Amino acid sequence: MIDFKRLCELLTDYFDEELESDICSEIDELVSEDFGCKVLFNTFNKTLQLCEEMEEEIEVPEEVHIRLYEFLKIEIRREEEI
Amino acid sequence: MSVSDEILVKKSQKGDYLSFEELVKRYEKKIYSLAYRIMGNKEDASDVLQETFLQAFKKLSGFKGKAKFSTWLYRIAVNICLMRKRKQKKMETVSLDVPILTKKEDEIKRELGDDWSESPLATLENKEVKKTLSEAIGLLPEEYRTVFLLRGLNGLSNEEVAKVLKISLPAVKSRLHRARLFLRDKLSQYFQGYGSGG
Repeated sequence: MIDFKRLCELLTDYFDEELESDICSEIDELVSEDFGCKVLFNTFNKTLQLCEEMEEEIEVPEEVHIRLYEFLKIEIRREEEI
Repeated sequence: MSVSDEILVKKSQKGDYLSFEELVKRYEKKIYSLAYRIMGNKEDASDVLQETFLQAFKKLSGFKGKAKFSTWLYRIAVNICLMRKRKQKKMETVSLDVPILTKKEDEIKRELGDDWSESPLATLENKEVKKTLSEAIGLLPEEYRTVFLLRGLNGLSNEEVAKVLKISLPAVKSRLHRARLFLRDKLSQYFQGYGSGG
């Protein structure tokens, strides 16, 4: 029997699709019947969605990119000379 | 079709610098993004980026290919980040923001408050929400933040994160879950009072 506390523990597994389908169904039923569980479920899901949007890769600034290649060329040449 | 990492690694190990450059090109953005999110600023992220690829080059001859190249590379980057963080912490006399992640699942109270998930304000176009979430990620303790970033930003599986960080799979899952609950909690605090209608 899944209750609010158990739901809390299972949310990541639920949204990462790591739960058996019967447990998922039980969660779906609980969420449809219990307002507190629904709030937790929906807001957790929304948090994951917002995090996903936040997780976009950051562009490497042009000067950082140039410096990286120059640095590696110098260091690798030095390594090869040793 | 692009050449696989494995082939590029083998060529690099034989001294083909262009193959190594291709690997750099492939992972530069991912390593920079990871470093930026862990370190929190451009300067440190830039240093970590350089150091990661230099170390990778130096250690490449010893890379046996038992792990994926990306897993091996992320491990180097994470270790550099964490070492730098440790050094920075030693230099700090007073820590102003001790991250706390105390709330356990059983401590989360039943909420009868707002379901902000449907709020039109719950979008990253809302700069305050973006800032709140970004700050909350920054407040995560390092071991949680690293798992969270590797899973999300770098798209690794739980198993791969466990390999990168050399921790157990249950530890990865637990840290990820607690990190997500923490972020949800911070967003809920922000939305408290707004109501689902905005």
